[in-house]
Amino acid sequence: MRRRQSTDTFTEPSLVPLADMLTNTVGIMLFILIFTVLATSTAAVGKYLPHEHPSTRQPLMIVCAYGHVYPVDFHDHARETFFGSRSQQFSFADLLKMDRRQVSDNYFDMETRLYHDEHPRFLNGTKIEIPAVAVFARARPDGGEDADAVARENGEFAALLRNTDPDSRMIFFFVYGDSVDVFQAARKLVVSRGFEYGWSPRGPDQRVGTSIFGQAAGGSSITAE
Amino acid sequence: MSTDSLESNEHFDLLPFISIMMCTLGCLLLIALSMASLSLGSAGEEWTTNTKDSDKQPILLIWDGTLLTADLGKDRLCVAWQPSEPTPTCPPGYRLATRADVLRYFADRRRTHYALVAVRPSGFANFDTLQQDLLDNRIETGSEPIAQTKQVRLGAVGIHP
Repeated sequence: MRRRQSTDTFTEPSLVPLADMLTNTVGIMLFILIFTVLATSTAAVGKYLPHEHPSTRQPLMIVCAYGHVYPVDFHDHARETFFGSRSQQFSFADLLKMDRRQVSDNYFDMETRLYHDEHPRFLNGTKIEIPAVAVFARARPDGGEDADAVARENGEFAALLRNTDPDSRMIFFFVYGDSVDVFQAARKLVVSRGFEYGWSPRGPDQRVGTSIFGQAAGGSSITAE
Repeated sequence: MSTDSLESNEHFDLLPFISIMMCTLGCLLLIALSMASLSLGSAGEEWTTNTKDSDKQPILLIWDGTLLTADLGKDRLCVAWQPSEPTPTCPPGYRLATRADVLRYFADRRRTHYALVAVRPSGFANFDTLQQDLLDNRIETGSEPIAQTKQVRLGAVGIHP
């Protein structure tokens, strides 16, 4: 008898407060969702841009292509590839053999071109035309470091910067359209190390070039930021 | 014994309900974070320059390889920098102008302003031509790459770290 009474008086707890809590939570989250979408859709990521100015520092040329940074000075690399030691003296005959030579390595497919220097030289009053040598190159898709590797302290690009003096050198990037992100990662590192930098965009069919022998060798009209 | 049985019958287990609520909360949080991440991924950029570096103010130009667009105060210009057929269509809100209009605008302000060019990947191949034209007219330039579809605007010029 007692048991029946007790069972009869059992009242099922109301679920209304719980449902209330649930709907309140869902509603608040929806508000947060709407606010987040509205706030981020008009968001703009801030970026500080220095003003470009001419630089007299010797450029260290870095290529950014295929989402990679090629951690060598393109100019020195090309010169060493075709001429060996940087202090080597070249004969006329050596220079004349330099046209359209092709070399590929881990980083680049390179080709030389001879051209006439714009500034004639004179020997005993006689005008002589000394050929200049340019190297044009395409980066190899499997070479270089990606953005993650660039940011690493023990990476090749970081090591290259460590061994470069920011007071005498500036970093000049050749940037392809598929490598804007890696360029920005590399630039961040470059700026943090106190270097001036400059950049030049390259189209997908364009090669990077540098003069490795002649009047324009070394790139004298570089601007930095 | 019978009392224990009664108490266990009257117990109402809230655990399933709380788990449903937590799952709902988690799902909504995930959706919110995903939406925020997606929106920030396509968010525009706001560029600022430093008055310590230069006494000149930047004027933003956007170069896509065919069209140069410029917000010149109330006037929004669009220029087909190199002759092309058919003539490219300007974005909504921009009026078609000539190279001379833009060069004149900057020439009048060359002591106080410089051209800050946002270069889209489609304009990488022929940006040199545009830059050389500006430099030939003694207009100082700065440049920065920007993703093909990303919006960009100039922020307030001030002293930045």
